[in-house]
Amino acid sequence: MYDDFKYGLSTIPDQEFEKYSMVCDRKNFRYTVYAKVPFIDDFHGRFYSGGDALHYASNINYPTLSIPYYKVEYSFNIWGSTYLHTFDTLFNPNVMIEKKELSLRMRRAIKTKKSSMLVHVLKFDPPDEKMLALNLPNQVIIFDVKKMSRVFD
Amino acid sequence: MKRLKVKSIAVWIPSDRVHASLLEMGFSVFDTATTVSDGRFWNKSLFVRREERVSVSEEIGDVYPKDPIITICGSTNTINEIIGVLD
Repeated sequence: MYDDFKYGLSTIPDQEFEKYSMVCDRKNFRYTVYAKVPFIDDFHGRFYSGGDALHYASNINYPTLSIPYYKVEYSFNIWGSTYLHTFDTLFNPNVMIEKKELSLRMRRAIKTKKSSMLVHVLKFDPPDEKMLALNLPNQVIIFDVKKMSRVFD
Repeated sequence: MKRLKVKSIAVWIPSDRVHASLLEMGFSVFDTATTVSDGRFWNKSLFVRREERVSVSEEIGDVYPKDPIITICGSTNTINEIIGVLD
């Protein structure tokens, strides 16, 4: 599992961004993303107030809120050469409303004196292992491989 | 246990219609995920029917044309049935 700021909310396609639209907003692809409502990022244990920037367009390589993912790598040994096929599978966002205990900072941001209240919670669910599998036929395979590394015994 | 074969095809049919056809054939949605390869984002849906699996991948973002890629891991009958329905 990786969580290295490779994927952020500004640079994902609209169709993927829609999954986050309950808690954040952006004008367009590669624009700055702001929190629409106060929410807790349950995966990273962070709290964001409404209006907080989650991914600056001016700092596109370092999103504030990073999307975790699985890096999947398949290697094929054919006639002494190793061919690599890699892809990433993003964790699925899951926005819920839950009753949470509020820290002092959260209470200040939400402007409430209550010690607990209903708040949006962003969770990241890992994809099932079956989603990472490649089913390969045992006959002829035409595979578009970009990386090849030679292994000498 | 049936002997399963693998077949991968690209079709010129919207993924929604592919999904509907698979559901009509008795497949159910197992899970969906977003995968990224070479900077291109794909929406992948996995359908299962007993031990058979069908994945439907469609590129998302500003891309045209949309031609979902269907990978079938199933019996010869199932492969022919799916190709027949989507042809």
